[in-house]
Amino acid sequence: MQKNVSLFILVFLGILGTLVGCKKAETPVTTDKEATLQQAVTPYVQNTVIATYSAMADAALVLLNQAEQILDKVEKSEDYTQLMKDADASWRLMRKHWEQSEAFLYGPAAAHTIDPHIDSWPLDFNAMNALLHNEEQMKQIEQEGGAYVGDKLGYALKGFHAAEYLLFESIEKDGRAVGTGKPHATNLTHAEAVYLLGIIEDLAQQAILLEYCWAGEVSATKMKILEDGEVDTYEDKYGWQMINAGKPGSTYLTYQEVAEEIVAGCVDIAGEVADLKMGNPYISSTPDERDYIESPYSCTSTEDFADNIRSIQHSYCGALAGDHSVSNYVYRQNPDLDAKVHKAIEDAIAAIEAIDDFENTAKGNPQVKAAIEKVSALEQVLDDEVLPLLSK
Amino acid sequence: MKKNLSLDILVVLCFIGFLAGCKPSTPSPEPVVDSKPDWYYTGGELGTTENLSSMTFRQPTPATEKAGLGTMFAQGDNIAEKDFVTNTSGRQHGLGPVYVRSSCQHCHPNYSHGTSVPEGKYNAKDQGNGTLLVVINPATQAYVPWLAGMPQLFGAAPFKAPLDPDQITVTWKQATDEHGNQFADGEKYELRYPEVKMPNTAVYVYNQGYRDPDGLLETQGYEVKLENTIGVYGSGLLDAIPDQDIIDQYAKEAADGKLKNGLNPAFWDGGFQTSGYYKNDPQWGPKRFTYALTRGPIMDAAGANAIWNITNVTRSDRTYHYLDLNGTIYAEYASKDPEVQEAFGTQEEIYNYLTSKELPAEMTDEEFTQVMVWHRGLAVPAARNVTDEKVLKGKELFTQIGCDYCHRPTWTTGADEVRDPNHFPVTASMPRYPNQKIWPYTDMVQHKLCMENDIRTGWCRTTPLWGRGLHKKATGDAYEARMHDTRARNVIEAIMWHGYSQQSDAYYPTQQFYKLNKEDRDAIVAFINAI
Repeated sequence: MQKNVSLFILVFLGILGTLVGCKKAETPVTTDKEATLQQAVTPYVQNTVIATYSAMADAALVLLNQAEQILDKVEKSEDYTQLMKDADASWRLMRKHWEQSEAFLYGPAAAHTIDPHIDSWPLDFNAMNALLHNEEQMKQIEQEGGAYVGDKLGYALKGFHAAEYLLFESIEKDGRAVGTGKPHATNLTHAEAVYLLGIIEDLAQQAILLEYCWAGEVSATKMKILEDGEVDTYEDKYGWQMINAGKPGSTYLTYQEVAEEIVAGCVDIAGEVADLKMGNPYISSTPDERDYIESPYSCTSTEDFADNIRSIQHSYCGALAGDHSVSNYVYRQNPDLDAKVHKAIEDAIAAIEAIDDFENTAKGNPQVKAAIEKVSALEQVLDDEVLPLLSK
Repeated sequence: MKKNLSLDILVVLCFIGFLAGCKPSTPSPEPVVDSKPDWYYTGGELGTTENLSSMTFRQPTPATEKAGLGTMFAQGDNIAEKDFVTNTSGRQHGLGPVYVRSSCQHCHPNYSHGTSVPEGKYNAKDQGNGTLLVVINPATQAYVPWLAGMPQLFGAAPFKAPLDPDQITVTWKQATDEHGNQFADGEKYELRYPEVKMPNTAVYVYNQGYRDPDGLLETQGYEVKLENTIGVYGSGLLDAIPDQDIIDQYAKEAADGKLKNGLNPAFWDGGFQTSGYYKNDPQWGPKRFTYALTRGPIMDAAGANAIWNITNVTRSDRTYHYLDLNGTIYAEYASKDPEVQEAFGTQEEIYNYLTSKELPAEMTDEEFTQVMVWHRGLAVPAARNVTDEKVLKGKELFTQIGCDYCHRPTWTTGADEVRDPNHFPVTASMPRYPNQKIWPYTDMVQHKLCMENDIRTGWCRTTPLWGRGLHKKATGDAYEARMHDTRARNVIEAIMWHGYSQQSDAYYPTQQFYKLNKEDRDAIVAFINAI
């Protein structure tokens, strides 16, 4: 009896194991590579890309409202201490979503030059100073707002970092503006407040444009901002193109091509985080090292880097539990490789989050070196093993 | 016993089920057919990338990575990618006093050719438009002296732009060839060419009172053309083609007498000319880069020059500004401009600053070396669909109708000893590509197509076709931006422009193409897009 009970328990566990162990097998068993990869595309487009851009645009709308209020307070000479803190929080949230999108900088972000438009640095202080003292240009910004900023100003005078400079405190150190991560003092000149609002209007338009280009639609509120700003919407429905690979109107001939694009985007940002975002400040031997820090005024560097890796995680593994993803296909072809990628992602995030005070200690910091190695390892496994597997 | 046996079998099966259930979807890896022909490796094994995503033109060559230059490549890429700024210190500083564009990416989106120019206002502010404005005296085909050969469109405050881009417009005109733009089976194609309008009020020095001796400014008798950038990728491989092999190509083309317009006498006139060598010196080999074949070794070729003259960011071997062709006209009129004087200093100080030959270097030698490692290290995308029957048919026809005469498919690189005419202190080894069979589809020689609103002088180096089929994917361009001024929106238009004039060197093969049936024409298009 004892033996029979044990046997039945084993039988039960075996059946249970078959059911539970099949978590990855929710994908219909098929050897058809295209069918398997196709299943990954809709969740990727909807839950990873569009969801991220939509959240970023939502944060931009809040920030836009706060920038309008700041200008109003400046004009009325009223206190806006809390408003500046709130705007900083909105900027950080918007920035978080942007960093979580950097594994998909291909497509509209590149083709419509939205990436350089909103995320160029260093800032051109020389040109900014000239702009703020140019009455004619400032009058045009006041009248046309984001449209003027978007159409007439160079990349180094707009976007996240121009807004960051006006929203966060910086102190003079060795002749340079060095950020503290604290809110900017409530001493903005009228010209600066006008300029800030113009930058954020333009930033919001570009964020909404990203969502629109992928989704082909946005909320009425967002659409009105695009229309009011006379923003060219291109109508390229990039998400549709990915989901409908091989159909007329799609840039992509196969789902393999889509999967390669997804992973290539991951490789690209991993390389940038390792070699440049962390690598340059780590090895910098010049007085310009501070210029290599991407978010020098908000001091959100390690958060940015970790979110970049999360962008890879959401792209490769899926953003929501149960999402089909490229990981499913890799797992089916080579489970060890898939596990290696998952571990490399987790290791990279952990190593980045272990860095203390990146902005002030990056040069020669062993914590930074360790993080660079982990992110490089992630880049390598994606580039040297996953991409070749997909292209076979 | 039977029951026990059944139970045991069931237990075993369940365990197998448990184990297999963990990985039930692990199939046998799908069969891999590695049937890559040599032309798959467009850049040879050392120069080809298999990353065919939209990032394809940004990839380092295997040679770059094998040489341990991956980080330097990434740093060079970062310098090329980012905007330069007008700050006087710090990263990417030194833009101006006047400049053509603020980054490499502006003209080479994702390091491809520039994108198709839309009709309307000429936009040089955003990345994408890689066309340069070619402002010439139509009588002599020479660049006008009152602008730079690559005219600047922006000024760093307090300096003003030599040309105001907001006043420049592009219109696309239609052309009709001898076939009425229609194949015998009824399929139609369009031929368009750009017309650029630039009023003299767009010219800063004209507005400041300058009048040129030829009177071109006053009468607006100058001519303006567009000249698109060529993709950066693969330049290192072209640099590695042996000098003698290029000279042999000239000799072959001179001997067979097939070219209606012969060869450019500046390069071949009964033999290879001294003026065909870079700096008139055989040690630098035949000029091999740019449409006009103005540049030799890559270390002093278009990219090495552009990172200086497009941005006007000085470096240790370029301690002066790139200004108008005359050299002093802009300086003279800017120095007299009261607004510039108010912000900068006296007339003499302004003039001396603009014309100085001893300016401090804004880009460090280390940074320039990183840029050159990146430049020489950019890979060429592998050929696509190399087993596709349509592509293979197109490959056969490409040769059969004579496209391969100028679009010579393959070359073999030599020892690839890196040469630098400037003797720049290179602090790191450059990526090298010795003894590689490469597939650029160019003869490295200039020919004439005699098109409507043709390229300046009419002589144009055969543009390499490698990677061009990925242009739209890499840049998001709506069109393929083929030909020197992006006039051809697709391969068919590009081919048919080759036979627009009966005086074209490519007239005969174009007519052969015209006579093909649709299936064969499509096969050639598929092949050209695959390489």
